[in-house]
Amino acid sequence: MARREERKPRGKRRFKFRRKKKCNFCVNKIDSIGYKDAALLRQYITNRGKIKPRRKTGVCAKHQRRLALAIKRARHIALLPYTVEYARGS
Amino acid sequence: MRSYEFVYIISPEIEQEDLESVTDKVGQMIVDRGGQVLNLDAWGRRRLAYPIHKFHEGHYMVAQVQLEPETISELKEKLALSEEVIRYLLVRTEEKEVEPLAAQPPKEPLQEEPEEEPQQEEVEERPEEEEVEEELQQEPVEEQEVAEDAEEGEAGG
Repeated sequence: MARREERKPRGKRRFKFRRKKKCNFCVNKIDSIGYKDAALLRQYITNRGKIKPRRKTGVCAKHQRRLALAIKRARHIALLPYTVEYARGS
Repeated sequence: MRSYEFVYIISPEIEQEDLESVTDKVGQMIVDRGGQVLNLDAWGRRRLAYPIHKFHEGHYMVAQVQLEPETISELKEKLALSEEVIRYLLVRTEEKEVEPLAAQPPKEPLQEEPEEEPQQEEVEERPEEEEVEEELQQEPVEEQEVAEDAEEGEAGG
C-alpha cells in the first residue's frame, strides 16, 4: 500500500521498491471479461463496492475498460453491490 | 437475427414448481416477436447483492436468445410490466465472448516446456559466438599493423 509513498526520490533510484505489476488478464490471455463470474470481479472492487483503480490492481487499460463494463453489468443483475450500505440495514 | 444473452431474475414469491410457467411466459414473449430461445440455464435461488423491489433473493435465469433488433424495445416494455421478472439484462453476444475461464488450465503446462528448450539452445550457441568474437578481434589488429607500415613508408619517402 505504501509502495508509492517511498522516501524522497534520490537520483535514479526512485523506483527501487516499486514492484512492477502485470495485467492479470494479459498474462492469462483472457480477452473478454464476463459479467457472470462474480468471484473474479469481486477481486477488482473495494470492500466499499467501488471499482478499484488501475494503479492498485495493475490491470492494463484495455482490460480495465472491459472489467469496468463487466462490473457494471454484474451490479445491474445484483451479483455485485453498488454500495455496501444496504448490508448495514438488514 | 442477432444473438443475445438474456439474464433475468424471477421474483422469490414464485414457488419452485411454478418457475416453469414463468420461463414459458418469457419464452413466449420472445417467440411472439420472431425470436427463439436457444438455451435456458437456471442458476436457482440466489441471494441478491442488494434488494430489488424489497426482495433479497431471486431465481436467476440465463438464456441464449436470438432476436430481431427492432423487436427489443417492445420486449423491454413487456418485461417492465411483468410482475414476475424483477430485473433483467439483455446483452448482445459476439463470437468472441466465450467463457474465458475454461481456456485457462491447459495453458499452464505449455508455458513450462518452452522455458527449458531455449536454455539448451543458449548453451549450444555460446561457443560459436565466442569464436566469432575472437576472429573479429584478430582482424583489426592486422589492419592496424598494415596501416602503421604504410605511414612509416610515407614518412621515409
